[in-house]
Amino acid sequence: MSASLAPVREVWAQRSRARSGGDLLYLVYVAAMTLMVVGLPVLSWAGTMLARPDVLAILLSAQAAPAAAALSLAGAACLVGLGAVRGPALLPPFFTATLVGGPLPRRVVLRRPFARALLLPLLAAVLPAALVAATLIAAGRTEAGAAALLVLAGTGLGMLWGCAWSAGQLLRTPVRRAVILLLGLGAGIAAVPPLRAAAAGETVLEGARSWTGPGAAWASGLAAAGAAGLAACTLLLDRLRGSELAAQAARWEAATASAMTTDLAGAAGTYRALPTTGRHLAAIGSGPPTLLYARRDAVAWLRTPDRCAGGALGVLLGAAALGGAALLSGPQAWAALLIGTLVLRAGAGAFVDGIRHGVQTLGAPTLLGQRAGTQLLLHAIAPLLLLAALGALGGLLVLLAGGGSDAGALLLPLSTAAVVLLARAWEAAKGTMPLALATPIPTPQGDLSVLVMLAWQADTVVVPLLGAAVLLLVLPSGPAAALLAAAALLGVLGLLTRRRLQELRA
Amino acid sequence: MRWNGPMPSTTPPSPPPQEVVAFDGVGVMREESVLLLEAGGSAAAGEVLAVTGPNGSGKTTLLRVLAGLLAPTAGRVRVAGRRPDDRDPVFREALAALIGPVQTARDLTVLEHLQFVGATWGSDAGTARARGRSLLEELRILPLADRFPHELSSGQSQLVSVALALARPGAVLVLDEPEQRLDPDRLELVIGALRARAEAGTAIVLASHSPRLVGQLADRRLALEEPW
Repeated sequence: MSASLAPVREVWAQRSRARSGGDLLYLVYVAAMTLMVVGLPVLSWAGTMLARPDVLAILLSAQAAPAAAALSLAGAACLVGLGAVRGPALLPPFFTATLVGGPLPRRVVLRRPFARALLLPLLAAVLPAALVAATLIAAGRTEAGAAALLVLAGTGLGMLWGCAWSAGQLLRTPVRRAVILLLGLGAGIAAVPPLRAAAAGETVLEGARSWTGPGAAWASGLAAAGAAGLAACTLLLDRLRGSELAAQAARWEAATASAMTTDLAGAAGTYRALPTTGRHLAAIGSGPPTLLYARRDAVAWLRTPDRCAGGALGVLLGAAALGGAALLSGPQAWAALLIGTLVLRAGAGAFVDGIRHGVQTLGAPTLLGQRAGTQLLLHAIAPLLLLAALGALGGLLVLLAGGGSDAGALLLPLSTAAVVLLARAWEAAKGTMPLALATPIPTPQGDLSVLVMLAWQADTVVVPLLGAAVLLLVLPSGPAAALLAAAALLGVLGLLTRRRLQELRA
Repeated sequence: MRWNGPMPSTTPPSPPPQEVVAFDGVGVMREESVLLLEAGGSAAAGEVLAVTGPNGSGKTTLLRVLAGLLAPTAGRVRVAGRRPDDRDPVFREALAALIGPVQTARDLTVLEHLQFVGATWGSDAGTARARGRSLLEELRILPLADRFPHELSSGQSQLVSVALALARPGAVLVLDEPEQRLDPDRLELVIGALRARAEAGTAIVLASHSPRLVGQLADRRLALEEPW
C-alpha cells in the first residue's frame, strides 16, 4: 500500500476552524508588512543608538570574532541539549500516535513542524547579525554588501544551530553528551586566547576577524554548510524513535497546557530532569538538621548530573558576566548585567529542588520534623554555599583574565548570587495566580488584563534583575555600601517570602 | 450522623481508657455548603476508630479537621489534649497522618525518604535507616528501597505513602482510605501493620470504604451520612 499525507491534509482542512488558503496569504501579508513597517525601522533605530564609540570599540576589536565563535559554539551545545527534551521535529500527541506511528515515512510527516521550528534558531542568529550590521552601517564602518554578507553568515549560523537542535533529538545520550562536551570545549578554546593560540584557532578565525568585511567565502561557506546540514537532518528524521517522540510530545503538551493557564512554574517543572543515577550515594547522614539538609540536597544534585553540570556552568558563566559588568561601563555593563543575571538565575534553578519541596509540604499533614519555613532555610544552605563559591570563581576568572584588582568584580556576582537564591525561594512560594488578576480590563485597544497577568508571571525574572541593577548602581560607592545594599535586598526578599508562605498556609 | 460507640466486648469491664482523640459536634461549612455535619467520636490509646460513609459524607473533611489542616466551624476537637493546630509543635509531634497524596522529593529513593523522615525527628542516620528497612520489610516492599518515586506503580506508591506515615513518631495516626489501589494481599499487610501500631498504643482514626479493613481493625465506628 502506498500511503500519502494528502488525504490526511484534506481531512484536516475540512475542520470548521481550519485555516484557509486566504487566511495563510493574509498571515504572510501581515508578517511581511510588520517586517517592513515595524521591523526594519526599529532595527535601523537600534543600530543608530548603538553606534557609540564604546560599542564600536568592542565590535571592531580583535576579540569580537573569537567571542562570536565562542557564543555560536556554546549556543550549539545548548541546542543539542535542548533537543533531548524538546526537539524541533514534534507533533501533538494525537498526531504522534496516528501519523508518526503510521505507515508514512517520518521525514514526510515531520517535515513541516521541523521547518516551522527552525525559524526559532534562524531568527536567534539572524537578528543579532542584522543588528550588528545596522550598527556598523549607521557608524559608517561598513558597506551594504559587507553587511549583507554578515546577515548571510547569520543565516548560515541559524541553520547550523537548527542542525544542532535536530542532532540533540536524534542522538543517543552518550553520543549527545560527547557532542555537547566537544562543542563546549570548542567554545572554551575560542574564548580563551592562550588556548586559541595553542589550538591554531587564530588561523581558523582569521577569515572572519573583521566585521567590516567578513570574507565572502566564510559567509557563503556557513550558509552552504547550514543548508547541507538541514537537508541531511531532514532525511534523518526517519531515524527518530517513536517512543522518544511520544514522550516529548506528551511533555510538550503538558507544559503548554500549564503555560496557557499562566502556570509557568508548572510548565517549567514538566521539563525538570528526573533522577536516574546515583541512587546508592548516601544522601542521609547523621548530624544536626543543617548538615542533614545540606547533605541531602548536595547528593540529590548528583542524581541529575547533566542538569547539575549545566546549572553549575550557567551560574559560573553568569557570575563571570556579572564580574565583567562591574568592570565595564555604559550599555556594555548593563548588557553584561542583564545576560549575567538571567544566566545565573537559570543555572540556579538546578539547585533549589529542596526549597521547592519544602514549599510543597505546606498544606499537607506534617511528615518532617521541621515546619515549611524552617525547611526552606535549611534547604537554602547547600545552594547558597555552591552559588557563593561559583559566584566568587566567576568573578575571580574575570579578574585574572582582565588583570584587574577591582573588588566589585567579586562582590557583584557574589551578592547577586545570594539575591537570586532568595528570589528563587520567593518564586517557589508563589502559589497560583489570584483570580482577581484575570478580571477583564476593557479598553479601546482590547483587554489589558493580559498585561497584568504577564507582569505577575514576570516578577520572578524582573526582581532578580532589579536587585542586580541596584547592586551595580551602588558598587561605585564602595564595598561597604554594596554589602549593605545586598543585605537590605536579602532582608526585603526574606520578608516577602515569609509573607507568601503565610498566605499559602492560610 | 450515627456513632455506634465501643464495639461489644466479652472481657470484663476495665477502667475507661484515656481518650487521645475526642471530637464532639464537629461541623464544617463553606459559605452555604455543608461539608460535615455534627460529627462526634473518640479513640483512646491503642484503639481504632473507623469512619465510614458514602462519598461526600465528610470523612476526609473530618480527618483534615483532626489533622489541623482545616478549622471546624462548629464543635470541639482535642488531639492528645490539644486543639489541632499545625503551628503547635507538640500537636505536630503527636499526630501522623496520611490524607491525600504525599509530597515526595523527586530526588530521594524510597528508603532515603523513610530515613530522612526519621532523621528530621531526631533519629541518628543508622537508626533511621534500620527503621526504614524494617518498615519496608513489614510491608514487603524492600525491593523498592532504591527506587525513585517516579519509578513506582500506583499501588507501590500507596504502600510507600503508608510507610511514610508510619515512619514518623506519633501518638495518633490518621489515615484516609489506606486501602486505595491495594490488592487483597497488600491490604492484609497494611491491616497487620496498623494492628501492630494499635497494639503498641497508637490511637488510630481511619476513613475507609473497605469492609474488610474496617471489620478487622475497628474498635469503634462512626458512620457519617451525606449532609444533605
